[in-house]
Amino acid sequence: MVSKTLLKLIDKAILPAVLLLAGKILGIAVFVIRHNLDFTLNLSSYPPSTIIRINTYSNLYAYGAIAVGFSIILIRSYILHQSHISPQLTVRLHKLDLTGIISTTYELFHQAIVWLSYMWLLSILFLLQAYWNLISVQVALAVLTFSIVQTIIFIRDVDRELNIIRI
Amino acid sequence: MNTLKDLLGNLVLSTTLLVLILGPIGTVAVIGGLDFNHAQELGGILGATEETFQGTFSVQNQGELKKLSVTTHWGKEALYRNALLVRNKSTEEKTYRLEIIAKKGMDVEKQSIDVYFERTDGKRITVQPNETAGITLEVAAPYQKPSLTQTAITLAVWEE
Repeated sequence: MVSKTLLKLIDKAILPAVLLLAGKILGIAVFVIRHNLDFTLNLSSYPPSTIIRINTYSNLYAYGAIAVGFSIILIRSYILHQSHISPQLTVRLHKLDLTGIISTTYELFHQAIVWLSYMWLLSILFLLQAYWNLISVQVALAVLTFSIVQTIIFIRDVDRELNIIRI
Repeated sequence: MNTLKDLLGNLVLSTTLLVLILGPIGTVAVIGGLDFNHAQELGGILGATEETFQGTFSVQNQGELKKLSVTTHWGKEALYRNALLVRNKSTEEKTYRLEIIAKKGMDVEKQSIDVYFERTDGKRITVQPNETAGITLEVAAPYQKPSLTQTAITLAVWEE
């Protein structure tokens, strides 16, 4: 039988992949429009100082898209997680006919794993680029810190979920 | 038969997932320029490849020649750090001398091409056993036309 987990992961990986690329291209576009430059994805045609600024700026857009998406997943996993949603909120959502936004562990954790992978791969890439003077070091370190904090928050939810399963 | 079919199916799915995750990251890396990082100091070298004219590929030993292909823009200066590495594989200290054997390309005489050891800023260097010395290549092409220059430089590192 074909793995349902793999199918689910592929399904969940499409949106962040699109957002990541869109963020990078949008970041470059916004920068070149603001500085009256010609748009190109071949950054080597810009002067060296511009390359660092444009790269930092567009990387922040790309990372921002993933960070916002993952933050939404974290909020859902803390507040709208089927296994530990508060009874009051469940009643309120039921009254508003919004029970559909309550998520299962299966759904949330598959999403989280994919988004977290993108977030960490981007963090590693930014650190490498900072090492090679292609982006600002401060931005790379800020991104790394944000990834660590987000991961810790996620692990706390996984921990809580495991405790519920044990009980 | 079914097991093989499932195995292949899962293999295809795993590959798809990997491509889906690594593809966009790779694209961001390529746009961001992991491959032109050496050009940051002075400017727009667009590609410099090293190829073996004679001898080994990555490490330069006594008497070997290396050919570098450099592409840059007219009107720009390019600095390529660690264009080549020299490693002293022996157990004793050695002195090496750097020499440009040939320069070929479009209007090559109008370009200023220089190579030197990074550590000494000169053509000569003493390298301890198992140590490595980086060679820097500088190309400055005066403005001539809005196009690329292409130059092939043949280098030798002699042991003294």
